Amino acid sequence: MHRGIHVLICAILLVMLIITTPMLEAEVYPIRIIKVVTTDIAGNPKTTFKRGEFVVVSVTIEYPPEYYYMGPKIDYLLIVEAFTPELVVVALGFTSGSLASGANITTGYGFKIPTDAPTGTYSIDVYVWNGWPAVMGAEFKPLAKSTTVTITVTS
Amino acid sequence: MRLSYLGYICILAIVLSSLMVSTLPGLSVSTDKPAYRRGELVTIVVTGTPGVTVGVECRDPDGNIEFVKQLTIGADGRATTKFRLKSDAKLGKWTVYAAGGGETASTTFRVKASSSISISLSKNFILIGESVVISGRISPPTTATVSIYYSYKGGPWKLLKSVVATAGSYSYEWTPEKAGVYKLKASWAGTDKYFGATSSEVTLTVSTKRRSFLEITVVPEVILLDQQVTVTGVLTPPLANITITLTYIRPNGTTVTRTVTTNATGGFTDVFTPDAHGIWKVYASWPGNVDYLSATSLTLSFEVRATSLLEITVYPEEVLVGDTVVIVCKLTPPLENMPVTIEYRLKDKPWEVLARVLTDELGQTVYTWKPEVLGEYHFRASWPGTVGVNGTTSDVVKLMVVETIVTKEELMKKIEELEEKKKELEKQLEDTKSELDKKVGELKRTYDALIKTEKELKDAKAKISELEGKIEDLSKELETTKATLSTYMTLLYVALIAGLVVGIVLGIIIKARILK
Repeated sequence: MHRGIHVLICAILLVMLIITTPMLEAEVYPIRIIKVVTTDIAGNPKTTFKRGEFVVVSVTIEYPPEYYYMGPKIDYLLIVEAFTPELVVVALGFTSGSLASGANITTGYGFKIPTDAPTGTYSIDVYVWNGWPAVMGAEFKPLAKSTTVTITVTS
Repeated sequence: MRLSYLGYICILAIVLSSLMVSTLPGLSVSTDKPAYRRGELVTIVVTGTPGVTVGVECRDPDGNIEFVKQLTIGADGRATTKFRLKSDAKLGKWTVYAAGGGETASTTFRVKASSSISISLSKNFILIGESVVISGRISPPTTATVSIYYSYKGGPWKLLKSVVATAGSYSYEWTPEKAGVYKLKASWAGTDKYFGATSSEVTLTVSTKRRSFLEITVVPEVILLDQQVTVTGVLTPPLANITITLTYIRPNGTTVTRTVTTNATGGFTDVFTPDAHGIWKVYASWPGNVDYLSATSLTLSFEVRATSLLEITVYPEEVLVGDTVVIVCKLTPPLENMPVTIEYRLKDKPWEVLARVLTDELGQTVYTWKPEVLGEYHFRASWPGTVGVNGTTSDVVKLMVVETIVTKEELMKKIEELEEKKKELEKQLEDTKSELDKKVGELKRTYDALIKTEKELKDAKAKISELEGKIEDLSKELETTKATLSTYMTLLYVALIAGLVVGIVLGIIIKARILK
């Protein structure tokens, strides 16, 4: 009788595991976005820019050693995307590379704010993926929790 | 082998859990609309297993990535994101990809631009049995099917014809079967890149009445104000005793309406005196009758011109070299912004253009000038005229450019001095005249004396001739006497020499005797 109960519990746990596995997988981000800073072209941090100025988005990511099981190094696609207050994509840049376990890297993406761009609060999203969804298909995975920063664009 | 009931429960649990897994919602992606305009907001909805993080990627028709987003499916199995299409977003089919949790999904939407379609008729009015050509264009030019619809007497719209537009242009010749008023419009369904469009409506009238025509002529086409213009015309077919309305349109847009009656041949004449200058227009019309449709002639123009006056004034009339001269031109009637040409010349030299100026609201223009050369200058102004007003040239005015300017007082003083001098000179003239009279008297007397003297001279000459004869005789005697005297003188010289010799000899002899 007890043995039967144990089997039942095991079966239920197994089912729950099967159900929750995708969810658990979704929450596992082997790369961390440590820092996202906006600077001018000289590297001075700033969050208010005028139209026509360059914005440099400096992103630091790391591959923590606790995710060693994901492999000694991990290939990533880092995407920076900027939106106007009206949600028009004003800049979309990306870089790809690989990061060894325990290592971190800082990379920057610059874009010029068009002279006729609207003023207001722009949002800048940073994503780290294992590739493009259209290319990776079912193998696609986000590698980090996305981060959003904002800048103010004035005339 | 028999399974215990627990075994059955386990198998059932496994089957159930597998069933649960298999019934979890699969990943799908959709947009809120199948097609968007540039600049429009695109809403993307992703459905799937709650908690799964998905990557969303949107590509334009050329495969360029235009938008990405990382979303986590919510507890309701949905995640939504939005982005706005750029104002220059590529037209055509866009694809949205979503992937995550080992699944993938995609959908498409269109980005389209607006289009337009026009419609026009070759004639807005036809008689029953006649044809009309319905044509128009799709913009941007596209080869597509165009549907032409009609509404008869305000009734429901019906499809008249579907035609193919080639490179955007379509055309259809239609012969209506019933008289009445038709409305027509055209539409096309659009393409992957352009939304469809419907044209505006046009009206076609199909009539059972016969047509009539009015023609007019205006003579002359240009007249001066207060002169008359004659409008003659004819109604076709030639209907007699028809009242024709002649509408004269003044240059300011107001109208004068006059009526005339057609004669037996449909002809009519009106003599009209315009009351304003400018471009007038005139047309003839009649409302038609039970048999004929109304008719309106072409609108003809004629010009009524006014004369103008251009005055020129120069201040001052006498200046020094380098002084400022003000030249004022005044145009009557006072028209603003009219071009006035000011010309000048030194006396007897050709005219030269000094300036081209525009009149102000009073029809005036002021120009300043500094002469650089002494002399007598002439000025005149002219303008070419404008609509309804003839141009003209002003009178010529003079300007003296002098070395020094004499004031009026000085001038008066000089005049007085000159008057006095004149009197003196007159007096001197009188004196001289009397002297001359005297001298003339004297001369007369002298003349008489001379005449007398001449006579005396003649007498004297005669006496002189006589005396000359005597002198000749005396000269002959003198010659004779001279010859005689010469002989005597020779003899005297000889006697003197002989005496001298004798004396010397005698002296020597005497001396010798003495010495002895």
